Amino acid sequence: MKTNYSDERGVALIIAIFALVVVGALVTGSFFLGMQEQQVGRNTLQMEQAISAADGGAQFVVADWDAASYNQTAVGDSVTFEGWLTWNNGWYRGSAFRVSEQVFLVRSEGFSADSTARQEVGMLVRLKPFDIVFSAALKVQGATRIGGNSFIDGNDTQPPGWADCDSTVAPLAGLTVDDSSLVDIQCATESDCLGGSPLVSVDTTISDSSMTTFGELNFDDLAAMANKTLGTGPYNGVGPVVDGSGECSTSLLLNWGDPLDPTAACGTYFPILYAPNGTKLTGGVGQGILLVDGNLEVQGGFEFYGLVIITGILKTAGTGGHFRGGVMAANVNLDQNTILGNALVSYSSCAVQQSLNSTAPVAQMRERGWLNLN
Amino acid sequence: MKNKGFTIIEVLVALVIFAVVSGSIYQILIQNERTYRQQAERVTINSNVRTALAILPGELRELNASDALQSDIVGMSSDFIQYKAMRNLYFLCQDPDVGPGDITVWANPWYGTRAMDSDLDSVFVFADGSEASRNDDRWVHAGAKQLSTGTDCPGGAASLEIRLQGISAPGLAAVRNGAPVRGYEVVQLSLYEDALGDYWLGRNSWRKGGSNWTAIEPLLGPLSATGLQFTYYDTLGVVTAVPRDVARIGVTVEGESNMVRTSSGGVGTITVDLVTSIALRNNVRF
Repeated sequence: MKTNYSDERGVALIIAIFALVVVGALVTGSFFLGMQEQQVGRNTLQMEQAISAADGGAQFVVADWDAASYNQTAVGDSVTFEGWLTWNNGWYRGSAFRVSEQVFLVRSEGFSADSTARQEVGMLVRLKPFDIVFSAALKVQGATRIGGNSFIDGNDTQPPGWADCDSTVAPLAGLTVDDSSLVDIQCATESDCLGGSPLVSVDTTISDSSMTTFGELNFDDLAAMANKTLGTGPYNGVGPVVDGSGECSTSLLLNWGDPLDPTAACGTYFPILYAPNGTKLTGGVGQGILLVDGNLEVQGGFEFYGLVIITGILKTAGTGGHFRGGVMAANVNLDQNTILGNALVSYSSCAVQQSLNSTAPVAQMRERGWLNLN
Repeated sequence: MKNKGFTIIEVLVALVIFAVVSGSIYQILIQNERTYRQQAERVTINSNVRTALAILPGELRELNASDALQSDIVGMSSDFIQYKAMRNLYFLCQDPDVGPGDITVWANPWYGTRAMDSDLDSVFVFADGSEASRNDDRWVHAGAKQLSTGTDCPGGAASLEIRLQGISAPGLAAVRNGAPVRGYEVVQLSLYEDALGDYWLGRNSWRKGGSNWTAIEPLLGPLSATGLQFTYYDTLGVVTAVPRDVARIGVTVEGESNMVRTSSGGVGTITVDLVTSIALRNNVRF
């Protein structure tokens, strides 16, 4: 039998197609909403990654402050940095911009792991100089003997050729001791061996603690920040070394900067030097902070600009040594400090301050130091 | 003779079946459409309240509520907050002129969302005091009374001279060349109702010149009638009403949709809550 399809006039097909279209549209719409929601959520995640990266970058830079590099930056200049967060959860880049002698602006741009989101924060940080106050060119806890042609001078002098020095301060004492009866001056008169005002001062508050605690830091904290660790020596030939490209070779053990030519490549290099078992220096020139846990013996006209802290005995002999800045010697078992030969200890607020500034870590300003730069 | 067509019974049965099937399909379509609209509204509200997450922490994190001279939180309650919102950062290019109370800053670079505006902005100027110590560091508070551009920075570089008024302790004598200058405006965030009866998180600023608030502008919404709640915590996590003690601000934003059909066929709104907690990053650290 032949079927005549034209006789079938049902609406089921039309209804089914209509229903499919409507349901399809709703399903598509739901998918679209779902995708949109997912994308918005993803954007939020990426933005959080970016802000975390920016904040983390700034925190890393401040926590791992590269004083040897950043502190030498001239005012108005900047040093760049970049890195990844752990587990590749974002990355950062930025700069440490020196806005004054004391203050830096650390700007950190953070990016999500796929670099599609960006956030920027800033941090105002300032140098946290070690709180080391000098009341004399030479501050001693224990017995002290001064003789020969040596001279201890508390008058503030600026090293020749050093720029960026503040004006000199009023004269300090030549020598400060905790007990004047322990001082043995073997010169015709005190003024032959001592300069400053007064020539000798007594500070009964000098103690183990006061000689090794400097504000928020102590001797061990300083030692932990040392750039170079010295053996017992003797070391001769300390001095600046410049590589073939004109850069200061700071990795060399006996390169301690160039105090005689501050404009040279090593002129702004002020390392922290640490001798854990005492040391002996027999010649050369250097600058920075010299920390000696034990005795320091100096001969051969060695010259040092900056800060010297000795837990044991300071002993000079022969052509002696020249210290421009400030010297502290402390040891509860100290028998004597011997300053003989033609040694010179000359107070220089500039040498002290520049050594401290050049080696100082930084800290975020105590208030209003965080910036949202978006 | 062959019977053609349907009996009345067949037609009635077919109609009933058709009606039942059509009604079911209609119900499904209607339900789907309602669900779709609800989802769309929910996505919109989610997006709105997420905006709060993008805007509020960025501004409130920068506050220093603990400033000994005056807290950055000017006024606060559970449904509004008035605060000093940082807008720009400049640096001095020379020592301040203490006599008339002038500071001169580098015109470039400056950082922030907009340049200094003497009608809105006041400033904090960093006073270093002793370079060897952080313990005496302070921020001088002052109003930015008058601005003038020039070329007074070193090397003839472009400068911006700011005449200050109402200079607080320790004064400009303790301010050094290179000091940061942070410009801020006093901003109010609050819940407000517009002419249509919708609630919004609004923002307006205090105009120093006219001693009045600018017109309020909506930041996000619509919110529910109680859709903005601030809670203030001190360093111990205890709720406080003292601005200077605030160390953390809890913010609850409740977004509300337009009227939609509910699944049961009624009419109502959808609400979505967002709760965030913002630690103040610039409080005194030691």
